[in-house]
Amino acid sequence: MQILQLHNEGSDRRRLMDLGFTPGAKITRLQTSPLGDPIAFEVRGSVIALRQDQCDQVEVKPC
Amino acid sequence: MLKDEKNTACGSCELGAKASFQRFGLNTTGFDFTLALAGNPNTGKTTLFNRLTGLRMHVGNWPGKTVTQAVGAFRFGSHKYRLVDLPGAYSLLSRSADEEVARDFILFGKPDATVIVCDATALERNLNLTLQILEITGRCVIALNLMDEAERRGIDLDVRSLARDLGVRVLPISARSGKGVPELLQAVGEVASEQGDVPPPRSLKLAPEVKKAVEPIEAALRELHPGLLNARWVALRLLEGDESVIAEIRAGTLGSAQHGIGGLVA
Repeated sequence: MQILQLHNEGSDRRRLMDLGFTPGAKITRLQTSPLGDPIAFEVRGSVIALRQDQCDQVEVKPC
Repeated sequence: MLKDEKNTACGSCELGAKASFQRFGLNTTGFDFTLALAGNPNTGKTTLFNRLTGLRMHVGNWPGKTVTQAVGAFRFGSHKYRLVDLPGAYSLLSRSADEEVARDFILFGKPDATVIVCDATALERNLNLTLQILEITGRCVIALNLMDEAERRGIDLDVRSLARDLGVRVLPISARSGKGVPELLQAVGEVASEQGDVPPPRSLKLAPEVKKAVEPIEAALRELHPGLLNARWVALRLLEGDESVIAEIRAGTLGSAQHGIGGLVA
């Protein structure tokens, strides 16, 4: 998947971008926790897990 | 002088062949320069720290392992260095406690040089923090770590262009094997010995209206804290509403000794 845009602002947005979730970045879903939250993604060479509310703020498209 | 150095050099270690090198472990008395090790989580900061100081801090391959700073010492050439291993950080602008430790030390601890440890296999990700540090200070050297791993994966890095574009020295190393470490220490020693201010190689480009807003705050900060490393950077955090910086200004603790490790080891 490729990130199209982030639907948040302020420190939440800053945090996602610091972790590598920037528009244009390619991400791969790797693992999902037993309860479905959080979900681990590979992004820019590292594995980062996001909670559901963070995932909701990231708009992606297939690539 | 030269002869003495030869006598005290550690002959069996790989650094000894290049220049006199001695590990001091926790004994940081009488150091000439303070160095900080900064970088993203899990890039090999603690591996490099242990190699240089001879200490055995716990190395773990998960983020958030180092939450406070570890301090050790070593001698390279004619100088003794105090080395501070900072917690891994993705950013200096976030609000997690361990990232604040890293930020405060770089900004207020005023290390004579900061070694930015980057993962050569995931360089793109590492450049975010790198650029943020280069906006604060020019007293930096980039250690491009895990070069052996990058080579194994067929990643080819143009170190020379990287150094030119970033405006600081970039040294390829492998902290695990020690390859490139003497050259890194040489570069670090040169930066640490530089006199006076070393301006940040990356300047903050501000829109005119932001500049207009930030300048009076910057001037007031300079008056309040004459020793502040980068008043503009702090002023921008205030404009952003960074709560930890606001709290420190209110409490009058901004840039005080407790940020450095001065109080801890002196």
